[in-house]
Amino acid sequence: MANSNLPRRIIKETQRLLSEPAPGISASPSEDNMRYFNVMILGPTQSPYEGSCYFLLIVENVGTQCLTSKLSLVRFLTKIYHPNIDKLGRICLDILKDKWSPALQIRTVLLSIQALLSAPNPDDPLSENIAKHWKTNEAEAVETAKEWTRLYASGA
Amino acid sequence: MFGSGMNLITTVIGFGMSATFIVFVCTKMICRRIRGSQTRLLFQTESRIDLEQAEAEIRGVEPVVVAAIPTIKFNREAFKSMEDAQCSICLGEYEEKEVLRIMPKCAHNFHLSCIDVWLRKHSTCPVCRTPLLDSLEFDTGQSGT
Repeated sequence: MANSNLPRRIIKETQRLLSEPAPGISASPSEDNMRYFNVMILGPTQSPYEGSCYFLLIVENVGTQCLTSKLSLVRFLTKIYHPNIDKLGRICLDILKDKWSPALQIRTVLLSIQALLSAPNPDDPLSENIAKHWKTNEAEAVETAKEWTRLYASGA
Repeated sequence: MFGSGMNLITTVIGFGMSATFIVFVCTKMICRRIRGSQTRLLFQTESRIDLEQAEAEIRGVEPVVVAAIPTIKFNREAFKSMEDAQCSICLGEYEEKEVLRIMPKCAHNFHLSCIDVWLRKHSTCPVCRTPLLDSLEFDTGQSGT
């Protein structure tokens, strides 16, 4: 099975994620492959995503062998109206790209994503249309975000 | 007469060859300088656009420079004061006699094997992003940047 040769780092990260979870975030490894993490982030209070719950998928690609590569995949599985997240759920966040460092862990990355939900950054957009909406009429964009939250992210 | 003529020819040929050699070397140097300034310009433009660390990130650190970064053998006694004696790259705790590398500016430490892999492609400390290069390498008279 794929789990037999798991790097020490993944085991340690998993233990810590399970034993001391960050507030509003839960992450657990998938049963058939411990490199896959199923993540749930609660929408931060005082954001358009408040009262919702978002599912993400992370594939951890960090071991001593592949240190120079970032977490190979972090993606929103739930639809979200946010200028830095596109319709495929991809996230525009510097630490997932050129600012990656091996000292970052799943936990820190998830906290950054949570912060991104609290503070959308339309100046560095991934979804051009949403960012435009955000810049020209923020109140209306926030309303749309709330609407999407109700429609797609309040089920669980 | 014949001897001195021969001597003259040898001198002329010798002179000609050394002149050609000097011209060749000079051309090479000029070419390199032009190319160098072009690359630097390219990197400057790139960094102006968005990636300020582009040059450093792509290049990593030369193996010679990496080898010059101080190392230490882990010793429980000496590291007693450290709360958390672990490598933040592999998250493994340091074992007795393991070799660690200490970053010169910020003093963050890692397993030698872990940090060296990172430094092949990057030139910053993984924990605090302090660039390694301007502390070690660029004191060799590069004034442009």
